[in-house]
Amino acid sequence: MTTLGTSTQPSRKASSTPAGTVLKGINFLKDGKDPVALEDDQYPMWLWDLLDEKKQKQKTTKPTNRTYHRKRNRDAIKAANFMSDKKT
Amino acid sequence: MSKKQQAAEVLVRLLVGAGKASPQPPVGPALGARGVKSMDFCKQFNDKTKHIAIDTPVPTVITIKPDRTFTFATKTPPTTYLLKRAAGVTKGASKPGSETVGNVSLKHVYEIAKLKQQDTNLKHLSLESICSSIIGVARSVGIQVVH
Repeated sequence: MTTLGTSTQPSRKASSTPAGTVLKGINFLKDGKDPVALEDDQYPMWLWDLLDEKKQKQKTTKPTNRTYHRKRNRDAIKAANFMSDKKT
Repeated sequence: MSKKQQAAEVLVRLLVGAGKASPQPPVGPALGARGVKSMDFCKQFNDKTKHIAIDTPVPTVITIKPDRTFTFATKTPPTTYLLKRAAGVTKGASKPGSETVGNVSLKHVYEIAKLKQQDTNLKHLSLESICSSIIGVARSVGIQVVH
């Protein structure tokens, strides 16, 4: 299980915040401390894809995804509005 | 029988600094106008937020019943506040989109999402969707999210 992640993954850029950096400003409790960054591997896989626009757009093509249906519904509403409102 | 058996409960949304509720504005007039004694609210609020660092903005929703009793619920600080602090910035961009005020890494976003998930209205959401929302907020404030 542990070897799968490292060998089959395409080379992923290292995070800008290396492990051990104190993530300042996030803690707002009196007693708590700011969280410390963990190793890149210890974060879930989807985190690193969040900034990838292509991958995020791909989500809208799978029928199992909620964004797919919402996009379809919104496009349908826009098309219906366009057809019914002939002035604009 | 009267139609309105229960007159409407009023909701008041306020952003109050933790531990700093006082009868003065913004809290005083908002509550006083609805018949609630602001001192009572202030004492309860300050008590509830004493574990939070002072001056942290705490969004609260106060439900005022027709008999002038009230209950309130507090939420986690606004995402913009957390993002600006993580980026080390006090003010957001005046022209977000064209102007970048600071940087935040994905790890910051992840930690903020973990905090936000403690909110009752966000508990049912996946961490992934909360992270996407936070990235959207960062975009609207002019903070760039870096890998």
